[in-house]
Amino acid sequence: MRHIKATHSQIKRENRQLLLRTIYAGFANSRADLANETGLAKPTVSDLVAELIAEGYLVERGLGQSTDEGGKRPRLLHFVPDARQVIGISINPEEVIGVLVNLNGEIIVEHRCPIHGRQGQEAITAVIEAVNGLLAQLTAPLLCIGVGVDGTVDIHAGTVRYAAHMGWQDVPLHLILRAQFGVPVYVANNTELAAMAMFAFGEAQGALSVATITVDTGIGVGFLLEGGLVHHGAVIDNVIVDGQPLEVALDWNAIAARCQPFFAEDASPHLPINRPTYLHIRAAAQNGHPEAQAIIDDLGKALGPVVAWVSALIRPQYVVITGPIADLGDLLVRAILRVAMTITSPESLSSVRLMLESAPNLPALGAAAQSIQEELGLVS
Amino acid sequence: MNKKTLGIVTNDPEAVFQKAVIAGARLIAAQYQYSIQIAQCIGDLPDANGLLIIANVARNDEIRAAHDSGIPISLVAHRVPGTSIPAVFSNNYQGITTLVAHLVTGCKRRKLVFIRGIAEQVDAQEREFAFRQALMRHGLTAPTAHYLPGDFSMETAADSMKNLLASGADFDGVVSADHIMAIAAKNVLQNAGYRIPEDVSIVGYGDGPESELAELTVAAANIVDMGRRAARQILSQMAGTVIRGETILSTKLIIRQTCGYPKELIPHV
Repeated sequence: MRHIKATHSQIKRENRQLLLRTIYAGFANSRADLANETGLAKPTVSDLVAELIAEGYLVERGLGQSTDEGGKRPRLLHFVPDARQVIGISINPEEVIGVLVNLNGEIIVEHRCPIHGRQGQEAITAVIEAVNGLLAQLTAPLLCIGVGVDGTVDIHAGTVRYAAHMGWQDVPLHLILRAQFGVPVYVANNTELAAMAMFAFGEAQGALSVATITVDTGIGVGFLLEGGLVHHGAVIDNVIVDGQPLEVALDWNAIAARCQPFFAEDASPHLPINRPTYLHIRAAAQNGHPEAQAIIDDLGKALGPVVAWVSALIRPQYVVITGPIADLGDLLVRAILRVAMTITSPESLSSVRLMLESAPNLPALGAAAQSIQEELGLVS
Repeated sequence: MNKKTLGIVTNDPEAVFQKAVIAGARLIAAQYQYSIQIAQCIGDLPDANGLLIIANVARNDEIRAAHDSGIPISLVAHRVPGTSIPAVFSNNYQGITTLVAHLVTGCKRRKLVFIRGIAEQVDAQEREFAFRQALMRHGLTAPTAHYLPGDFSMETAADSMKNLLASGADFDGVVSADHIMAIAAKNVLQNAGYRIPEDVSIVGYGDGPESELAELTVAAANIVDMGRRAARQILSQMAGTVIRGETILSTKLIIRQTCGYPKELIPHV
């Protein structure tokens, strides 16, 4: 009996998601259209729509056209994006970046919280205190929380298997945060969530397959396949490319040290925020500084093989390099492709669109998108 | 029952920025039936149940001492290094990046001038950093003489612009760290015979009725909303919630007449 109950509940949940998704996507806007479009029985549609209206996800507004046979004009149904709000956060060794969004993924506020050096329980407490910052800004009921982590995550169990910088091993983050905040919590790897963000809200919107390669506080690769239904991500810090681990070849501190000759020329001593960035490297390379160009060539040697293997194996529509390194722009793309073309066939690369995205809130937006997908089925 | 009090610390409650923050905080305080007291010093608010401190009105050691005493604090456009006191900011980086991108790609300007805010204020520092980064993003540079003192003051910004004109500097665009200084620069340029935007484009960070009147293109930061968000942050702390970090509000590009963007391309709201 328990099994049958669970199945009924699951079917009802899927039917609700189907109706909501059909209206959200603009395929139907009345009960009759919903029944036609989804194949669900009219009484079922009517009951579920009544529920969705009562919960605030749908409103009735205006009248549609009556059918050719005449009869009453149908009351039109509209999706209410502000019916609920969703929190998405990404946790990296330096900070927690959070977004509070509505059901369309529109950002209401962001929240950033440094956690550098915090590990274990201390890091979990810092995450909770960062989420509190977003909870204080809620202006609608909270639907769910999505969480991204720089590490290996069992997305089905909601457990962080391993996140070296945080000192986390088999941490049931989903259970901890659910107990703290009382809403569903979904946990995944930051890089796959970056792919989810590109798929849900970015330039790769609606693509069948997206791969992301993140170079930030860690290096990761993430995939989103079959229109968002399958996603996976992993840390590749220790993968050896061109004779050294990626975390060494792409280590920002080492790169920043190489910037000193041309960064000093540009330094603004009066400004307290005074550090080299990838934009300094880009500007110096454009001005013909040989060391800046050498840095970009070296980054191409590290990332070119990754792009080549991802493109050849997965053949995604989009490969997106994410993180601050994306600020290098076309210079980086050219350096990557020069190397990738020596590893795989031009055909493997020709069907792939290589893009750059430096927005730091990308994984947090992806975390919000994934949790909206899990709760309401609106993204895929 | 004693009514709870939200204390607001500011150097000038009538200044444009501070007035808007206070207006936003008042809305939330009224909603949750808190009274508001305003003072120039933390010490003048001994009965407050929480403190909302605007920009760099108080010394960091004073703020630290108040925080250590256990009173909930939220900072607006300020941070105190080495503490976990939460704060609310507008997205300085996004706003300036958007303005420069608009001037360079939308309005074809390449010789830009930047008007600075008060050097000690976080907002001013972040906006100048963002301007320098944005120039590099577009492959541009600006000579040191193109960074003008402004101090978030119309008078200082106007004087700086007069000095720049006297020096014979060659420029075709002005990005100001706030909209008030941008209006001052516009007035100086027009009085000197420059056509805005034909000769020089001008844009500024922030927004208000003055900007609308001056037809100024801005990266609008909703300052009243900053006040609302800061009040929410502090009320939550007063209810016992521990908050760490900074809440950041997005800016929005509002294209008016001073930038020179083709009128037919301006999106209608």
